[in-house]
Amino acid sequence: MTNIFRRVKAVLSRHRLEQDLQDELNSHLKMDAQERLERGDTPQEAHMNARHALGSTLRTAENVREAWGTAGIDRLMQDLRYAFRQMKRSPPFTLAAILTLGLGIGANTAIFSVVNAILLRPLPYKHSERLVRIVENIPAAESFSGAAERTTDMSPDSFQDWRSKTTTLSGMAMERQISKTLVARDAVRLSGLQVSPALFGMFEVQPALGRVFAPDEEKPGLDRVVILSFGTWQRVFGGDPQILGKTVALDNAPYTVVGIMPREFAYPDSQTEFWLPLSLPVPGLLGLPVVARLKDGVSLTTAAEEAAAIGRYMRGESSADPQPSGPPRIQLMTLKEELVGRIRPALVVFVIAVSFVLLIACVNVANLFLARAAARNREIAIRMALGAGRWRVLRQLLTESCVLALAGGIAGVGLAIAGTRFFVALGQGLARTDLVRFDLIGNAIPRLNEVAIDASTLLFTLLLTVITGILFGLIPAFQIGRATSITRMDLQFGTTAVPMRVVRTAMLVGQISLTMVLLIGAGLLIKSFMTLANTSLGYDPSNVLTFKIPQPALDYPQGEKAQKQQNAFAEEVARRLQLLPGTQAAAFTNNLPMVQGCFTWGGFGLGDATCKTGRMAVVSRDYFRAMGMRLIAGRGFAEQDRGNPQAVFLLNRAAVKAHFQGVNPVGKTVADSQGFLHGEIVGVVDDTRQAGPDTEPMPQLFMDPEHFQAVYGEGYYFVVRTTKDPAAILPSIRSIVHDLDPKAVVDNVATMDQVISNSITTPRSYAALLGTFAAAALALATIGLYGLLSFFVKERTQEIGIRVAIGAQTADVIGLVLKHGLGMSIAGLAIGLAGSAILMQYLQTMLFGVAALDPVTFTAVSGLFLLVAFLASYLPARAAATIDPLKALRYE
Amino acid sequence: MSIKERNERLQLLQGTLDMLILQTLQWGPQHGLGISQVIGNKSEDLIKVEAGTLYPALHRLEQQGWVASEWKVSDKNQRAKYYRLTRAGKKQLIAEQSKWKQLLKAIRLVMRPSGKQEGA
Repeated sequence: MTNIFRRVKAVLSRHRLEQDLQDELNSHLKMDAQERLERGDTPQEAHMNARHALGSTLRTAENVREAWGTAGIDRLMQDLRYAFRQMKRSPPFTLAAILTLGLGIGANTAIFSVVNAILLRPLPYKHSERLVRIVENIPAAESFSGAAERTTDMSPDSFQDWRSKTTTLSGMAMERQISKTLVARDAVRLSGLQVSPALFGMFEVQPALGRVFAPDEEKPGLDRVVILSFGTWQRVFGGDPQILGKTVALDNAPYTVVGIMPREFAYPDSQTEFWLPLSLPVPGLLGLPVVARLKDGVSLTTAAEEAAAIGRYMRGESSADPQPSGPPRIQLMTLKEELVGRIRPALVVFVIAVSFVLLIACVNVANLFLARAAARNREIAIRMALGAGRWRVLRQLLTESCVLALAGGIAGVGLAIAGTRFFVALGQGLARTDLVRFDLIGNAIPRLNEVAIDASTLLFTLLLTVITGILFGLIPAFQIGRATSITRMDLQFGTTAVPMRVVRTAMLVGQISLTMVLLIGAGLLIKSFMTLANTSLGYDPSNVLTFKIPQPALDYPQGEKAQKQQNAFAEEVARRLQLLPGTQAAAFTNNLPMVQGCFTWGGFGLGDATCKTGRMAVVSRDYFRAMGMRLIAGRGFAEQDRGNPQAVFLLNRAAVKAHFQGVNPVGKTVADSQGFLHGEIVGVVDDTRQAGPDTEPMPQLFMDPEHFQAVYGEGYYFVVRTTKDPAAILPSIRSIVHDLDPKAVVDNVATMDQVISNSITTPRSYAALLGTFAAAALALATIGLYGLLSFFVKERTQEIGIRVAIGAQTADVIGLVLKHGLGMSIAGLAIGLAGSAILMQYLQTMLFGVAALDPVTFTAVSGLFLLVAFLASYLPARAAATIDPLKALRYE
Repeated sequence: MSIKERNERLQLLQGTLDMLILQTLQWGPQHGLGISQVIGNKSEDLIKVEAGTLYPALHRLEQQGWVASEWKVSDKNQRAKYYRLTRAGKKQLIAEQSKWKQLLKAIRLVMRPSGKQEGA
């Protein structure tokens, strides 16, 4: 340790030490000379003999420096200075190398920061690895949709049962995402989470102020307490230190503030603004996700075994019953796995893709190095002839490549900062942000807000940079180390060593193969995305503005009457919207396509026990017109249905297919076994893709609000089809709603186009990302091909000149170069296609409507690549064709 | 110097030079030239310490903290860098001396002409 300290000190006080050493040697010389003078030498002899006795001062100084321990650093500095001189000598080379490496390192850094934030870093809770979700795999035979499903929902009864039985879980909490209108100065909509009070203990979180929920606050009546997030406390209440014990109005009900969470606590996400206790039982609730905590010392496997047993018990099975094949019925997953597991395959694909980009970049720079090394062979041969060891030359070359890589790394970090921003923007949707964000489905990249270039990312980049520098520095360096004998030949004949040419060709072919794999992957994702984006949705989303007015709008009484009043309010809003200039149709519904929270209300049966079920939607009269849905048979809702005690329904095509075997059901009566539905079918509308473009339409039944008897507490979504810019009518909408009820909030504003655009955010970001990588790879490979061929032409200028001199035509010369270029391209292409066929299986989960071995994509990408390869080969070929034989023969 | 001369001169054992320098400095501070002269004289010119090995050794000893140096004016009115033994250097010298005696004894035992066992 002290040794290192001394060395560092020696390096720092370097100048003084050197001076001191020179003085010391001078004084030695002087004293020796004086003594020799005194012994009778002539002044000249004395000086000469003293010099001779002292020996080489340079070598002495070098040895002394060795004793200081700074020699290694000296040599490094020397190499670095030399490397910088080399870089300055050819700016185009240096710039090309730095940009290429910057691209490769930057892409890798960006993807690493994403992978780190999403997959590697633990969730921001204490001992987050002990937090689990209970996942149920529902086989196709039992599922609602008819396909195998996975759910984290558990019924409140099962939850209570489970909680009393478990011995491996130290806590369990149900959770429900909610939003409530808070009336402070103005009415604002806040999103929050209703949770079992146990949650805070399980997360080991202490409030910043006040307390967490008490266990008995999950009892109805005691549950009127609220915990605010730090942000909400600051933003809405100005950080009022006296807030504890105060009453706030949430959806017009009084809640007492009992605690403020610390600033950094965010569960389930940073958008959560408050927490309420979840009181059990919750009437009419089908199921909610449960988060649980493993008891200390209990492993996930042990807990999972118990969970499977409890699951069997609850379904009334014994452990002796045969287990169905497929995934286990009940699974325990860590909270993190449950959150990010879905995105892992995609991230793995991206990691592979960026590694390819980096490899291609390395090969390109290595090729640049080789090309230059050919030119530098003379210099290196001379240095080796002068006695520089092979290791010394190697180290020099590695220093050069590492300095370049470091510069590339710095450029890469800049690129990565921009790149991660791009990724986050992609992941959050590129929709206009002048309208409020929606509660969308399909907006599926988790932990996106945690993505950032942090210390571990920079460390990764540094590591990557060094590895990169060694990787692309070693290939040419190795070549040079071996090439001494060939070098001598070079000096005589001025041609490149043959093995070097083979290495460069092989690297280029490899590069082309990797590029092909990337291009095909990107091609498949882009085609997949296009398919998704062009899927007919069954409605016309253009020029449609949607928003939600959450209900109950505060002062409405509870019960059936509330529903009537809510409907009347909605009708009035729709009527006034209709009067706005530019409005073509205005309507409202409880079930807007692709919006979260619209699916909880569903399920209708048609009488007999065997029939399948479908979704039920409440829609106002003009809904089909406002959404641009097609009526296939019968009629829509009409004025005459108002006040008619007999309910009328519309079905969609899927429901007709499922329940009436495709026969026109207009005029038939539907009723369910509970007597909840009873009425006549008056029309059929075309299918819509309700849950997103990648989900098949499901059976749907539409009823009007007037005949909708159940108490529905969530409010309605409004749909306005307009000829104007949707954003322009937003102020009018707000004032209409405010006039009718000052405490009502216009929430979740978005255009239908935005809603759709957001629902395909994930596939779009995948396609854009891989497309970007593929484009970078293609550019790099093209440059590589072009560079290699140009070099090939330059190298064979003499030969080509002779050919032209003895009568070769322009076409022959062009053909010669093209054949070389296309030969390498086709070899790379073939290897790339074969590799793709194997690798594309990993892409399967990210594809929609496209096979992993889609022949169209494979052909189109090959065609595109050949075209690019032709261009990259043609330019050097043209250059070769213009070689003047006379000049060529004088070349060199 | 001739080849014969070089062969007659003794090659120093690894680390021995350090000990010789420390030994020389026992009698007081000395500059580099002085040290090499003292060693040369005392060894009857069998050991000649060249500047190329002396100065690195001095700087190494200084790095170890066994000697310290300062610039002084010599009795002949020359500015010279004088080295002196530090406390740690004295300890090191004692250690080296005893190691050296052990080594000499061992070598003497091995190099004895007959196979007599001493003291056994």
